[in-house]
Amino acid sequence: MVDVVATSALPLLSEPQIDVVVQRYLREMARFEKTAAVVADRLRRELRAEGHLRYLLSFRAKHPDDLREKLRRKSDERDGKYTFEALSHEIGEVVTDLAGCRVVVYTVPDEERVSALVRKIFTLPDRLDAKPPSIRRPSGYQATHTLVLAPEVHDDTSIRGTICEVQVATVAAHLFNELEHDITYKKLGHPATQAEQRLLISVERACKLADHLVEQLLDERARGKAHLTGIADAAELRLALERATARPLNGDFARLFTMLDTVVDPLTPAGLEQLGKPTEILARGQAEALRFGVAADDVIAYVLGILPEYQAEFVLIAAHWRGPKTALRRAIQSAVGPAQRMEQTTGSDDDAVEP
Amino acid sequence: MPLNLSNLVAALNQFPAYHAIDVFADDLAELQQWPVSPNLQQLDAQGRSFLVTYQGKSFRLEIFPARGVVRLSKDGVPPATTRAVWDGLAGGLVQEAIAAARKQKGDGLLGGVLLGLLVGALLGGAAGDARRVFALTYDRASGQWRAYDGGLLRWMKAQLAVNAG
Repeated sequence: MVDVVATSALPLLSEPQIDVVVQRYLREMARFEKTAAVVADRLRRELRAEGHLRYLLSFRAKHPDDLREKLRRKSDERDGKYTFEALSHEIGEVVTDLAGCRVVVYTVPDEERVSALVRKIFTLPDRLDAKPPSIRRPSGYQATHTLVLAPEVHDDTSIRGTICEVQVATVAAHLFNELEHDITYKKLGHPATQAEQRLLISVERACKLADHLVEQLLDERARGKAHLTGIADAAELRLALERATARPLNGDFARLFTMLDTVVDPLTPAGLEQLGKPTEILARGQAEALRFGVAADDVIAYVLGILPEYQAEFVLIAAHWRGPKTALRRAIQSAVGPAQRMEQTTGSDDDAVEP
Repeated sequence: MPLNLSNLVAALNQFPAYHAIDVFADDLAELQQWPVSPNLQQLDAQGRSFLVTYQGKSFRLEIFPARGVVRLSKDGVPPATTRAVWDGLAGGLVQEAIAAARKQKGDGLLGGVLLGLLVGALLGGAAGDARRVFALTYDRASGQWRAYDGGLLRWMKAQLAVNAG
């Protein structure tokens, strides 16, 4: 009984065996360096093609000292995959992060997007752990790992079949992951004190909060950009006004678009807001229409609602509309009254300029 | 027949909600003479701004040489007592503005259309807000301004709307 316990507590690998594996890895390290570089290069091109993504990309072959430390740990944990025979046969099949790429992104949705891209563009090895779900360890570590095969490189078969681990994490998670790795996982220096562990938990919470806030901020930025992007045509104007009023609107939006584009620069959703709240403008316009006995759709109501401010301009604009008198033109005419002719124009009555 | 200053003044008088009108430099007759019209009193050494008086009212004419645009403005006119009028006329910037305007729109292109943009206040009152403008085209036949909502509307707003003021 005592013997059995003693045997099960023995490490899987002896120090001389670990030395042999590390020495062998040193001889093969160039292959893993090249694999990581080739995977990173392909990934960089694909990420650039995505255009809108902001990211940091790094790659490396595992440092021999880190491999030695990992082998000792796995050996102590008696991880069944880490036998001397398996490591001697093909180390890259056992230690799958000898070649590694890391993509650091701003948000969790970007992490998911990039991971999906990785799984689409690379061939994955035929093994169950090639694409595990996103890792959310109890320790707080957060990332998405994917094992990929080195892509074919022209005239070079040296890296064919070599596995590279691609990690994708947010910038906030990356900060925590690195700290947690150094303090808990690698057990460098001294075991973490209780105070260190408490602070690490606080850092984890702060990083998760940062993830959440960054996502909110970027969503808000996207909304802000859309708010300031020019309204390009009548359909976009209609959409902007319908969004602002939260109801469908009707009327001649092509006319309204040209009218507003002529008097507002730039014509954007933000610019529309600065003209006044659309719901209030529409209510004012409907009241005016009632006063003048005009049947008003939403466009007519909107024009009548801002007419007091833009009367001279709208009269001049409507004066040059071709074709039969439209309801909009009649409404403007009714509102400005017979005193102001629609054919109103402006010229110079005297060409002389006094010095 | 290009525009002249009286056409610009007429537009400003007609639409009091606007404080300035921008036109392309090569469309303004007074700038095409050399030396520039004596009706323009130079207000700075570089020849960037001029004083224009019309029917007892004073206006400021500013040159934006890089944009090829000139602005006639009701604002920023120095009081008579502080006017420092320069004797020597500097026409360098005017020529630069005319050249830039021709480059922007092509000499004799746009079918000879004469464009003007009335410039009003910022709608929200803060820098970066949308601005009240009114796009116009000058009808040579009738000698009057008309509202412009043609295909060049976006282009003309981008070209003519200078940030000053």
